Amino acid sequence: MIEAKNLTKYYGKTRAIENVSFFVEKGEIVGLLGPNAAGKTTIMRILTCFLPPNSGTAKINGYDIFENPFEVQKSIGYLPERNPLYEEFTVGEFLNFVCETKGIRKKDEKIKRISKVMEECGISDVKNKLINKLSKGYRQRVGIAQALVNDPPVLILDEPTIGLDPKQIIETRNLIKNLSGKRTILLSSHILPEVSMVCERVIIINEGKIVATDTVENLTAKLKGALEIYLEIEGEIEKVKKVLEEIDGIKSISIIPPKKEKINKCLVITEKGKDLRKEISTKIVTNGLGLLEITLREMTLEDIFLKLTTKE
Amino acid sequence: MRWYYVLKKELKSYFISPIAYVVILIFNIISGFIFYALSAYYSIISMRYSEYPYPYFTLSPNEMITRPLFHNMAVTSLFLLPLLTMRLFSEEKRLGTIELLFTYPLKDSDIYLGKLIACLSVFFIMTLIPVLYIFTLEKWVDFDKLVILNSYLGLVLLGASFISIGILISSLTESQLIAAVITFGISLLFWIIGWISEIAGPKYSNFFDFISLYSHYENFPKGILDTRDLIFYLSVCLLFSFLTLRILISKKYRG
Repeated sequence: MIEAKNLTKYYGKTRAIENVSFFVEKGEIVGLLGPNAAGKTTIMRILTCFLPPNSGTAKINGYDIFENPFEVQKSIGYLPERNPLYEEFTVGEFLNFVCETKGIRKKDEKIKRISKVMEECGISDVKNKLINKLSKGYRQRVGIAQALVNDPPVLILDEPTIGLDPKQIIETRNLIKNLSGKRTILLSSHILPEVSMVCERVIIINEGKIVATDTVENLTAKLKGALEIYLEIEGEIEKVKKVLEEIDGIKSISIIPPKKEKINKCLVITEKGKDLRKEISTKIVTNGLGLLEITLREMTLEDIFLKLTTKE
Repeated sequence: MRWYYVLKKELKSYFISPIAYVVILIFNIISGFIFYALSAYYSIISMRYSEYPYPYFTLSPNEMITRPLFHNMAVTSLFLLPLLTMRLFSEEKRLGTIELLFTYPLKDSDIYLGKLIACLSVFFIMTLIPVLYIFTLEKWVDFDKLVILNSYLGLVLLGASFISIGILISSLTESQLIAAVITFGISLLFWIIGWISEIAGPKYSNFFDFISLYSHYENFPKGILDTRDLIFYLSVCLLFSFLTLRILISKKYRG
């Protein structure tokens, strides 16, 4: 459905994205994940024919962005970053305009589409309100409604939940989930739980390059290699350090020195796949230190993200 | 026909935000005042000369009312039109709605044409009202209708030129204020550039006269329809429209 081939885009001399290629199947929800300024918006702008890439091309719904931008734009619904809307219009007037530009011209068809999309997004009750009088959550839904109004097969949503309160985030997320099924959705975000909740597959990009593409489960499994063990130990810091260093199979130790009461908070990273909880606990206890807490920490998507996007 | 939907949207924005009403009102107050002053003066003069048949019959309402009225309307338009054109692209750029507009299945020319015609329509409404004033005196004064029509044609052509300059500037900046100031500056410069034709020497005097927006306007209220003037205004509109479309495309390429 969405096919990007070697997309490269420079803004003057700064590189925004380089050699980005990916594929999104029909009906998939894919998350484009990356820190700010990673190039997510640039990719989306290229896919929506707002900006042309310097090299490479993309196909949406079988149409090339260079050869057939008109058809591409007909088959996508796009929610830009920051969700710009025509503030001085009412919701109904705005959606009416969007319908007309997207090719729905017959009056009864227009009314049918608009009322359907307003119901779908839960904005029927604000139909006659001015957009600049709406709350942020409603505005976001109007933004999604304008993307959906001609029932496009592909939806491209740039940071759909940014700036919303937790309740609105959940509502928007559910709305996006409900939209999936027959539609292909590409959404960008830098909020990881969101992506892991909504998306089936994640494309992680950093500094304009794709660093990983996989399902959320696979990504977690792949990077699970090293384990993290969190410890709280009572005792002198030098002694704790010495004891921990004697254990085999530990990759790194970091200790936060105690403020009072001599409780050291340690984070131990073990070598690949080794669960050393047993060895550590016996060692600590036999050396006369007090073991207050020991927990095995799993890598979350957050850690994977940080690991992939920060340089070692 | 896609431009029609952009036109509808633009007209709606013009009349939702009171800018169109304000500009039309101010224009009509000024033109109304000028029209009153001209016709009052004309009536005093014709009264004074009513005993002398010869000068009385040479007094022409075209020369004393229509021509100065249209001249003043042109100057007022020069001042007020930048306020109508400034928002057309600048506002969309600042609010980011340009990203919506350019990702809907519309051609650049549809968007441009919609905006141009919307602005022209407001200008049309704005200038039509003072022209109707003239007809209130029809019972007493014998106006030449063709001269009025010709003058109006000139005014619309001139307005279209100002508007196409304004839209170009608006597509270059995100600030409405800057767009308005630069548009006004350029329009004014091309309005008065003919003034130096006399001191520019014989070689260039024709040139400055030729590129002046004013010297091509002069003929219309006199009742002269010169194809050179027609072609001049149409080429100005086409040139600036072409440049705007180029800017829109190149903006896309640069981001």
